[in-house]
Amino acid sequence: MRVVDQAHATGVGLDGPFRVLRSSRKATSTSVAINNAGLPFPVSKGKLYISVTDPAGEKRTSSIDFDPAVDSMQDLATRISSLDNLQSSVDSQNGQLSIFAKPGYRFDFTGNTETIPGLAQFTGTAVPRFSGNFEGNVNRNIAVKIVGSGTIGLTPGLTAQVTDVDSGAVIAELDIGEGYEGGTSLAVTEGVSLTFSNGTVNNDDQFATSLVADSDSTGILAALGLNSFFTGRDARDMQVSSRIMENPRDLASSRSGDLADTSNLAKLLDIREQPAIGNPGMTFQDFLGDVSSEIGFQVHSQQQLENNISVIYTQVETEIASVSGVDLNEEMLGIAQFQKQYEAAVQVLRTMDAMLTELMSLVR
Amino acid sequence: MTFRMTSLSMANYAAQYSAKFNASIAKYQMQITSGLKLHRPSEDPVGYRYVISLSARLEELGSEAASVSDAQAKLNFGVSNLTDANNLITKAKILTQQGIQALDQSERNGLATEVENLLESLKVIALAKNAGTYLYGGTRTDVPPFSFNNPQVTGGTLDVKYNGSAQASRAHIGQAIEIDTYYSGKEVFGATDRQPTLLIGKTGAKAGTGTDTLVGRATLQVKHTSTTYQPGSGITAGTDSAAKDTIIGPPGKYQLQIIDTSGDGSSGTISLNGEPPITFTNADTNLQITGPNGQKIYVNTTAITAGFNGTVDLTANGTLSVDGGLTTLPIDFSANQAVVDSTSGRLVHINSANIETVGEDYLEFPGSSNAFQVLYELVQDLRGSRQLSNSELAQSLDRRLGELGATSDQLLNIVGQQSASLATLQQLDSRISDFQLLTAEQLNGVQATDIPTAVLRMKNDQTLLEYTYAVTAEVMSVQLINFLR
Repeated sequence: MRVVDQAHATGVGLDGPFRVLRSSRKATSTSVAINNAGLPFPVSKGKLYISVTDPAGEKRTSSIDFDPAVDSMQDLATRISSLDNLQSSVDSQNGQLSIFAKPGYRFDFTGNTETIPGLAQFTGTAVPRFSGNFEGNVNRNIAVKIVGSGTIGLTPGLTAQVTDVDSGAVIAELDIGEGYEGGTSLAVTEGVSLTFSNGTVNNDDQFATSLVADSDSTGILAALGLNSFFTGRDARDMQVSSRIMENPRDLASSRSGDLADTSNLAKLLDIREQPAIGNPGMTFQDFLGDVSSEIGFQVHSQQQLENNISVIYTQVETEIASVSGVDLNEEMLGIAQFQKQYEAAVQVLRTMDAMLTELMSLVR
Repeated sequence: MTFRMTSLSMANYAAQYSAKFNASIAKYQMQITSGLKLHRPSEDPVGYRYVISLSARLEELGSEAASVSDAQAKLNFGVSNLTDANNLITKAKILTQQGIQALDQSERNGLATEVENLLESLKVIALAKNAGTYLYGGTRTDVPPFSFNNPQVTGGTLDVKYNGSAQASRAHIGQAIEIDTYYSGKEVFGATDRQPTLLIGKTGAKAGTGTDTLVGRATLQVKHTSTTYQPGSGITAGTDSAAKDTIIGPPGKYQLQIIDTSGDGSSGTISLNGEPPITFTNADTNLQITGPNGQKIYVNTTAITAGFNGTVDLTANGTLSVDGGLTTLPIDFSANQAVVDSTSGRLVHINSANIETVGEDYLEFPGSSNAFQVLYELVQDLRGSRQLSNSELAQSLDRRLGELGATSDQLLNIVGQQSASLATLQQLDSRISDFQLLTAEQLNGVQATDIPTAVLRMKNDQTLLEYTYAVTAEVMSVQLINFLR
């Protein structure tokens, strides 16, 4: 349930990102550390990435650090509210978290590459844009630094140097000077591209972004039931979310909301091969086989036991019947015997009666 | 203790064995009618686990086969469409060649009409649907991938907007195989590879060295704004100078030679850059003077300095525009002036250093037009919408031929990719069928009923049941009461 919910939470349905989301799983307390808040699934320390799409379709992706040993649901709401154009609140009565986007804005947890990065350290007039879907397996932070000053597509030798922030390695040197057509995509790494609009850039202008493979390393989305596939806490009350049942378009099959984008569906399908259940971890298929086989063995042995008991029962019943039971032949024999005895007794009485009659007649 | 066999015991035994054999017969009947010998895990726990595993694998294979079939249908449809599109382009190439050899404009007009029809057909192909979803919108298959509008500025190209996504829609087959099915329309019909900008015209403007972003074609308007003269001679701009001067040039490029023959500024001669002098008087407020390449200026000679005899530098200012005059940029006579089309935000770099006259130049951006724009531009060329000479027109049509070739190559490249995907799918389909057969055989080995064996066992149990009934009937009937009757 947790694994499916986690995969589902990081996708979006056909209607795209959300305006409002409310957690379906309730915490016993919204002010204590999440680890003590009675949530059904474990939450670990890590980052949660939230992407916000503005009315023009531009996307910004921000991250929140979260430590379940320290942070409460209220802390989470506060941190979400600190992000631009998002508001989060906690219903302490019901132990639920709600997230709202400001009018015209939408949000999701896909961790999609942001289109326009933060440009606080960028002084040129050209506008850099990222595009594409990150296809890597681990999250990466990259920084882009301009080498040289001049005009995009005009100044010879103008480059954008892309560096992996964590390793310090240069990933790509992009020529954006003479020969570069403003607005065309330049491959950065693993499915992500960068474009610069026409304009100027200055030496040492820089900006950074995160390339996200896992947008929720904490597991908080599944634990809270935000955009989850299931509702409920365990097998006793688990159900497919009524939101999805009522509107199948909410099934998070994509990461973009496009009709034919099946990227998140592939992620959901991958769960089939993951050791996601049982201890040691087994695939759902293996687990089903294991459980079926175990139950089969139990039923089989119970059936054998039932057969054995049935035989013994019959044996005992027969023995009881041999003592207390009635055999028609025996009873018939007894009846015949008693009938003969009765007939004999009648005969004796008749004979006695005849003798007495005779005797009395002699006396008279 | 003496064991007594009572009627009840006999009835119990009869019922027990009857039930046992009946159950057994029912079991074999079910096996025979269903063809399966395992219905419940308890019937063979180990075997049932194997059955679950094999059944799941069979389901997966079935699902993969369905995915393969679906992807094949989409790709086949795509290949068929793109083959049609390529045939259209081939036809357009033939018409272009005919256009190059055409003898008059009416023949080219007829060819243009044919190309227009090809363009409309290509639009239909680009908006083709498969099972209700657009074929060339990438992952965005629910909206028309292209919208077409007339050029936003005179002399521009067809306005084509791509509404799809840049990512192709992919079919997932099994765990590892992903095949592109719905391609991005931009990739299929988009521009090929931008080549250096071409400027055709007589204003003296040249293409700059910066990388342009305008697509297709545009008209560069060079207009005059003002002419100013070096002080000292007393000559000033004529009344029609701003509107009618056709000269453009930085200070020093053009010089007037003024000779005051009267000595008091009332009359004399004046010439522009060594052209034959013409006479002026102090009554001329709008005197036309012609330069070496036919440039015209209008001057006011009413206040010529008495006795002036010398040269006067003039500066002729002007503007550049590529959006039909919606926005203009003052000419700075530099090697790279970025002129922006306000309607699209795209730009072109112009070398304005040698601009010497007003006029309209034609800009072409080879390799930047998509398939629709290439056909549209071909139509415009065939219709003679630009005032090109015969040789320029032939060269232009030759360039269209090259672009059509590049478009065709691009289409064939996509067809090639789709065909390769289809070949992969074909192999995959074959492998999946083999696996399905193998798995089904394995599953049958575990799960399927061995009919002869089941029939024999059912017959055996049936005989035993009948025997039970017969024996019970026989034993129960041999009662003392019968002897007594």
